[in-house]
Amino acid sequence: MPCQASLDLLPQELLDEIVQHLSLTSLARLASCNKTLCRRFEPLLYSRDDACNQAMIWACTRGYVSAIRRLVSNYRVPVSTVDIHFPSRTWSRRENKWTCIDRSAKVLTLTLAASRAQVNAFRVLLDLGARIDIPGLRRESVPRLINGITQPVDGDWKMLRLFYNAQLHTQVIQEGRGEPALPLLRLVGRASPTPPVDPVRLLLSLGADPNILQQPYDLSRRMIYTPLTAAMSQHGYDPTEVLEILLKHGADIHGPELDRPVDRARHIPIFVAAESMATYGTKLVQWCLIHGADINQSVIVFDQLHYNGWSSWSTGRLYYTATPALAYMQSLHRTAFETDSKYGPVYPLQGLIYLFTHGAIIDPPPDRTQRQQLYPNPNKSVAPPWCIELLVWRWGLGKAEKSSSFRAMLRHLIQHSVCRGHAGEVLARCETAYTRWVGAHSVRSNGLLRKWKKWPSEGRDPTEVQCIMRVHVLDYLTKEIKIAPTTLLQQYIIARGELMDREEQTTYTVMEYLLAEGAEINAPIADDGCTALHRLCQTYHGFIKAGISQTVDGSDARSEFLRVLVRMGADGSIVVGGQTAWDVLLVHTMWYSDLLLVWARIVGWKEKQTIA
Amino acid sequence: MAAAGNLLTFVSADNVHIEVERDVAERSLLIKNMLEDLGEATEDIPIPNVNEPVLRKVIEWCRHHKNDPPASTEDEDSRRKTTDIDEWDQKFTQVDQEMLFEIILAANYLDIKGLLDVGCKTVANMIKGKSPEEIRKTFNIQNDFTPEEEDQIRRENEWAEDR
Repeated sequence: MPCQASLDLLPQELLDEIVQHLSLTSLARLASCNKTLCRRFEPLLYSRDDACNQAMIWACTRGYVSAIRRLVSNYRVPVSTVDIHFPSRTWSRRENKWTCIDRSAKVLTLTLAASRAQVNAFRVLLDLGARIDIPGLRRESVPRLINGITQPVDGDWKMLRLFYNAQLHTQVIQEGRGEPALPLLRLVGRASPTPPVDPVRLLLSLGADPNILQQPYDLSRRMIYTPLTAAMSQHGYDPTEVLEILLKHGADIHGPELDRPVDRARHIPIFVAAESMATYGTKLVQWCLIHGADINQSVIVFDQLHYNGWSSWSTGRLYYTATPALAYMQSLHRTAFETDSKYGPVYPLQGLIYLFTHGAIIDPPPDRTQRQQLYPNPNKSVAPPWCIELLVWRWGLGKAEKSSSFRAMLRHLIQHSVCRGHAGEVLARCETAYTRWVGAHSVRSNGLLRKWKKWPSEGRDPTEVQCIMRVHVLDYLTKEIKIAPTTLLQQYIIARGELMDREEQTTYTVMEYLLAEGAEINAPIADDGCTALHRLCQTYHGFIKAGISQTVDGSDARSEFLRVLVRMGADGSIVVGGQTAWDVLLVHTMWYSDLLLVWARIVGWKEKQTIA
Repeated sequence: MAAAGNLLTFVSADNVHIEVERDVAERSLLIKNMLEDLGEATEDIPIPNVNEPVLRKVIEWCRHHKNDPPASTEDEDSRRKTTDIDEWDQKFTQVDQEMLFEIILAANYLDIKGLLDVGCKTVANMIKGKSPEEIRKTFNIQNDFTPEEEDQIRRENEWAEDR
């Protein structure tokens, strides 16, 4: 028999007693029965553990505006953040097994509303004073917010407008890693099917900075983007229109000046344009050049050629000034050299030729010694590599066997340097880079790493290495370009000798080959009868005087190289202008390597001459 | 009428005299405290808020539970979490709703913790697992929401489902 107004008979304290036995679900249902019960039970409902928080998450993600207002004004729920609970598996050392524990993370209410496109909830939260500069947030909370507001809702960027009107962009604090947390960067950097022209215009009109940087410096990747380069780096839409808009609003075509090296110059438009030639062809480079970019712009980047993993971290990494041409060489992907690649067999070379015909200086790169002094540690700055070095260092030489595009590129670079009078140096650099490549690929030649990285087997057999070098570089230089072996040997000795540093191993392959081809090691290179050994000794003498041996300790490697030259038949006793090569090397030097001295005695150099 | 020996006499609201053993009556903290204050009760004890049928039910419960150990405060929390009721109590609370609420009110007035608990748990069990509509039907609650309001409050409270 139902009674009349039964529950209302009970005083509040007894109702409290009853609902203590109820679950959250039952209590919420009871509170939904009528207005009186709602009034009586809602406070009890929200006084439960975590109930306010859960209700707020629900209201934000579903866009229940009145609930948000009620929770914030009646129940003092924090308007900016909620706590999200999630299970997390951790290893318990005490119990010796995996356990599931509950973790919680602080997340922005605005993120919840924005990621579900709840514009009304977003607006109400802002009205109620929601902020985003809250300490201790879950890391991806702000990037996800930015991601959400940069998506259109019903064809309009309402949340973006609200975001800027509420001055939230001034509250964005970017932490370490993670995606760009700036609306403009996120917007242009997203690979959407159509160019985000309207929202970019809107953002710029709302006061977004077209030169803003993704900050701070990302330690894990050491790359920084600007809106221009972010638009160039995505592969979804054609960026030209967006780029034009950015430029019109004052974006800098030269990019920002950074005060430290980067891994890749992702903040300079011309660099990114050069790197993106695989996707866009020459279009973006052309665009940059039309708008005043410098095709030989320089950026300090970390050296990857001399990078040896962890040991480089402890000593500090070396860096050099890179140019767009070098960036292009580094951006080449394995597929670019495959014969059946979509670029066609000569694509990589075409890109390089395009840069070259538009004024890019390649092999040797433009002299940047002046600039390197600007950096805090000049000892860590090294001369930039040549394009051909990068090519050989990254891919070895074996690719020339199968890939016609690789062969074309290699030959083009060799020919280019020969035309500029650097035949010996290009040979020496090729050899050095190839030796490095072989070293890197044969040291870890067995085991999983090789399998995992799919390294070719090339480089494990020394005779094979020699053969590849001979066929693709030496034969090309002597038989096809037809450089006289003697000239090549002379140039090679001087260049190789100069490049010697402590890491280099002297190899005989090249010199043996050239001697077999009939090169004369003691032939004079100039009218005065100076031999290659003489010239090299002059250079070394200069090094010793300038103290270069002391900074980069290559003196032992150099004396080792001299020893090899002697073994190959170089004669240090030929007198030119009253001095032998050894005299040139050691006379009037206050300091020289002990090893060099000992060795000089062995070859018969008379010390008395120095003293005299 | 004076109490004989260990017997007390309650006078219900509708002026019915009921005799109760003293140890049974002392299940009620109200009575117990009163007896301690008065020393020996010589007169009838009026229970003005409780009428006869309810009072008899209450005494029936007290008589059955007269030997229960007193509830300690430590297991207060565990008591709240569970809604288990023992078999006798379940049978005892199989009464109409009006009587049930009267018992709860009487237990509250007489300060009988155990009985109050049983009563509240019984009501809680009647609410459990029911939809708002079923709750309304069970307790004859009038729905004064408009359909829109009702829909809104249902959606807003959905977060609490399955908890």
